[in-house]
Order: sequence, then C-alpha cells, then structure tokens
Amino acid sequence: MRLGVLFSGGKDSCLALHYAIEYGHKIACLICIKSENKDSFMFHTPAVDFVDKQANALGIPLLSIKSRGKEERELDDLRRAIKTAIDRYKIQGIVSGAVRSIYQASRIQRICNLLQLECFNPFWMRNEEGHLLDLIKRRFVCIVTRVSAYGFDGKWVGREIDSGFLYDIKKLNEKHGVSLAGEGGEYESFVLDAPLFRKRLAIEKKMVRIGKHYACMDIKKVVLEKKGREE
Amino acid sequence: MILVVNLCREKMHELEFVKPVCDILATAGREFSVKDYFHLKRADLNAAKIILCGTSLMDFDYLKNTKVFEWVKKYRGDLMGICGGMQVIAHLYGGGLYKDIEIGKIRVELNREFFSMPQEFFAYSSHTLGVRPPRGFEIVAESSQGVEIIRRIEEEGGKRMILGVLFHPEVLNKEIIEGFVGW
Repeated sequence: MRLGVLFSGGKDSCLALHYAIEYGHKIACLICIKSENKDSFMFHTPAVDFVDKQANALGIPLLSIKSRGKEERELDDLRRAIKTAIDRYKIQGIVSGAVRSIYQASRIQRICNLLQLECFNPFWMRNEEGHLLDLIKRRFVCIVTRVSAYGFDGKWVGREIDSGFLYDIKKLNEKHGVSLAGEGGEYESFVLDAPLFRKRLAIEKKMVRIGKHYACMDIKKVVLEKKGREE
Repeated sequence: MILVVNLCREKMHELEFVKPVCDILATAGREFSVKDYFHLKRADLNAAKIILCGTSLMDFDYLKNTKVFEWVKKYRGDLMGICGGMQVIAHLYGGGLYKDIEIGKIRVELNREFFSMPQEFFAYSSHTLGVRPPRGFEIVAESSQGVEIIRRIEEEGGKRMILGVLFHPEVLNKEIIEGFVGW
C-alpha cells in the first residue's frame, strides 16, 4: 500500500516508518503537524521545525502543516493534512507510532475512518522496554529533547536513547511511574540517524532551558552530514 | 494450548490486533499458537480454547469469507471472539450486524456477573459494525450505543462457553482475556 507516516521527528514515528517499509509498504510521504501549542496532547512538539532535515535524509516528501494547537481544532488540522496527502500523494493509509495513548490513537482512527483510509499502529500496546530495546538494537541515534515529569532533571536533555538511558529510565519508572517510552509526555525525542537515513543529522546550535523537573532543548541549527563508510 | 486466530488481511495489523492478545497469554503463562483464519487445519481444532482476534476498521474480508468459520459450530472447546471475531460468531449463529461506529474509550455496564469485572468499567472500542445478539446468547454487557458482550454456555456434550466481546479487551481489560483462559 501507499502510506503516509504521521511523523513528528521522534523515535516512535521514525521506527514506525521503518516497520512499514519492512512490511512491504511504500511510504509516499511524511505528514507533520507543527503545533504552536507546546503542551499539545496530539502532536509531539519539540524539534518539529527540523523534520524537513529528516525528510531530506530519508529522501521522502514531507507534507507539513501549521496548527494553532487548540485542542480538538488540532484534529481539523490533521484531517486537512491527511486529505492533502490523499490528493497529492494518493495515500491509501496512515502509519502512526502510537504505543499506548488512547487519546491519540482513537482520534487518528476516527479521521482515517472518515477518509476511508487504512490505519496502522504497529506498536500498539507494545511492551515499552521491548520497544526501546528494538530501537537500540536497530542502532537508531535518538536524543532526548524535552523532559517534563517528576524525577527528571536537566542532565537528561541531550542524552542518547541507549542501554544506559534504558537502565536509568527503568529506575525512574520504578520510583515515579515514568513511562519507559514517554507515552505520558514525560519525555520527547528527536532522531539524528536511523538505518534508512541516507545522511545523518548533526545539531550545530542549541539552547537548553531548565526548570524544576523540566528541561527542553531548543534546537537552532541542524546540518546534514555524510554517513561513514561502515554504515 | 490456546489457538489465537488471526483475522487480519494486512500482515502489519497482526502487530496491533493479535500480538497484544498473545502478550497477555504469554504473561499469564499460557501456551498458545497463532494461525490465520483461512489456514486452519483440523488438528488446530484440538486446541483447549480458541480466541478469534479483531482487525482494522477498514478490513471486512473475514465477513466475506464466513464459510471458512463453519468449524466454530462443531468446535467443542471454549471460544472467544474479539470485535471482528464477535461479529463472525454473531453472524454464524443467526444474529445481525448493523452499521454502528464506535471508536475510542467507552463506558460498559454489566447486566450479569462476568469474571471478576466490576459493574461498570471503561473499555477501548474500534468498530463500525454493531451486533444484534443471536438467539441463545445472553447479553452480558452494554454501552450507551449497544451490546458489547454476549455469552452462551452450552452443556450438551461437555460444558463450553462461547463469548463475544465487541470492544478490544487487550487494551484496557486484559482480565477479561485472563478470565476466559482461566474459566
């Protein structure tokens, strides 16, 4: 099938794209909603301005739409974006990286049903530790761009999601109930490299804001670099 | 051994509709195997219990092929149908299907005792066809939109339960699947 991936630049949507290709589907486009609402429940927001660099690295067209981010109005924006993807890229379905968010999954399902599109959520109800191990095993390079939950501090921002990260976040999970995959919005990620990236991303300029149990990386400049021969 | 029957037309949907059920069985320490509904063999029906999983909102292939499910009436073990699986059961036993879109979190109320479930609970629903229960099935639970759980206990030739759950218990109510396998 020709599919559009709901793409935020984070680990879940990027991994979902890889799965869709492995299952034999063609990715016609990435669909990205740039929400002005920093606390959007629907759309993962940090680093979303640099999704175009990831699209470039993947060699996949990007359909990007701005949203004021006003709760249910965001869904009108998403529906509009998906309708444009149907018209422009002839998509037959949507892929999302939803793991446990009923809020997100049900809203995406409703839009797909309305537009008569297939909807794929390959990580639905997946074990979160297994999910992170999958990313690590596939040698994704993802960094944490925002943390916002009790137990986190500024040192988490910029960390790569690797086995050390998994070890530490399991401790936060045991102590404070933090979701390993960040499904409750506890943290957000940005992918710098992945198996299907033809180039890797490098952050050249950034600013980190730190508060109590909150930290956010404002990325200012990203460049594309050649990948090494070993890749 | 529990047989988990995959109704999905698209392979990638198995990750969404079959794997979560399998994960619940694995966590409960239950041995299981997975088969596609159109690849079942006679030997597969020796399973102690069978679960028919759901599939995507756009997938109705299983309803175009209901002859493939005729074995359901001859099978003597406990059978549970989830979403599309429940629609198959209802259709085979003479019940009705009608257009009814229900997507998202719903509130379910029990009419009968049902495993260890509370009188009211939330569930996750994702279907576009509601079910009119066939004769011989009791309505165990309903939502504001309609029937959500049906059940039939057969005593003849050994006690067995046929259970239909229209919502997806693998999302918010794994105790229903655990209750079924433990019954």
